[in-house]
Amino acid sequence: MIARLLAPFGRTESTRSLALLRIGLTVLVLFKFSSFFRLFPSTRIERLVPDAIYWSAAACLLVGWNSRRAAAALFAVLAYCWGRYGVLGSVKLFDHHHVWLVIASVGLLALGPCGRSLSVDRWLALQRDPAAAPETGPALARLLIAAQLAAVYFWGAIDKMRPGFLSGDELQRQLLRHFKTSDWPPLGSLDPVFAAMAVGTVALELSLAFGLWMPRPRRWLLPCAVAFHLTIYLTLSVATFSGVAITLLFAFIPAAAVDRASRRLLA
Amino acid sequence: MARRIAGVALLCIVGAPIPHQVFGQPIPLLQSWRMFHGTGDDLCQVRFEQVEGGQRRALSQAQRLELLGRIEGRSARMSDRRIARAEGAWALGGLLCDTLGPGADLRLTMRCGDGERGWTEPDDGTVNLCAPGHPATDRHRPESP
Repeated sequence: MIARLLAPFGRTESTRSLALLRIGLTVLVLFKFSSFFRLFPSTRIERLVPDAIYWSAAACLLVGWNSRRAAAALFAVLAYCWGRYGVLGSVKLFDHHHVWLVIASVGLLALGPCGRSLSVDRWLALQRDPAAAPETGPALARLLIAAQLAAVYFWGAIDKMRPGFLSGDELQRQLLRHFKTSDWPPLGSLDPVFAAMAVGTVALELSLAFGLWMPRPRRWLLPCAVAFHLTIYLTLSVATFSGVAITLLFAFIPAAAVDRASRRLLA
Repeated sequence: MARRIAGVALLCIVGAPIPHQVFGQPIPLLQSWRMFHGTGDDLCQVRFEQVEGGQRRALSQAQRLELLGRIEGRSARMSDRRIARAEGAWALGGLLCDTLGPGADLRLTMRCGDGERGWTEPDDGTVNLCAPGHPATDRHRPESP
């Protein structure tokens, strides 16, 4: 049973999917953390090393030069800062769920050949020997990133299975908070609508956690997931969580399909 | 080798939230996934209604601010718009009663956030906030200079 469950992780597949995840995640990292790691004008001496590693690793990962080492170094420095300034300190930047989601995904990138496609590593390999530069590798990293996102959906749904959320009340308060008001809606009570939305949210999250692994449900669950995250982005204060989740959803698309589409696009 | 790594990584990914989300014991380095949990618990939903000739007329946020002489986006404070606690709503009710003058009839229907149970209902709008001796508004009404 366990061997069957783990079998896909050892499979070989196109590395283009992982390369696109690498690029997307690095852009998100740069967008999210660059203000924290800025070298000038206020860098303190104890921050010089993390800052220097951050910038060099992020640049290398973006262009795909020594990609796996760069991913490992970027993960190390982000995890260090998350622990030091987020868990032990009180820097608000590191105090959000999606921050760990980004950091963990960067770490998982390091477990796969994330620089074997669309990268300087690939270009250098082609210069050396075009025949010995296959764009294939183990599916391990891509599937673990997908598993990480599925775990977020699953545990998110488990957390919401309590009367306070399922009644729709918490959802209603989050919206009131977002719109900076305490007023009753002018159309009268919307309690049944919010209750239906709350139950629907939990049902969707559970469907995403399990259904995204299955080819047939995936076809309609992927657009649902994107719509779900866009709705959250438009109605709640979520910063980059929606962008992170939509990027990571990419890990569920079969690598062969991504490979075919990218070849058509780049042809 | 890839399968072994996958097995260990999957255990970490799937198992990390268990201490917090199953046993209620958060461990700082193990990330749980409780997005938005408790967000909005510090919020009350309010409906102020003025009773005139037996008819109830809802006072919108804009009307309340106008009555208090505060301008939306300028002199209006966040606590006038987003009411965090029952005490805040009653205090606002007291100010509105002062503005409306003697003999006014103002009702407040209010429910406040409670993460586990949903809502609590500190005021159901059955009692006139402006009635002399109303315990809630009198307690919170600012003293006259």
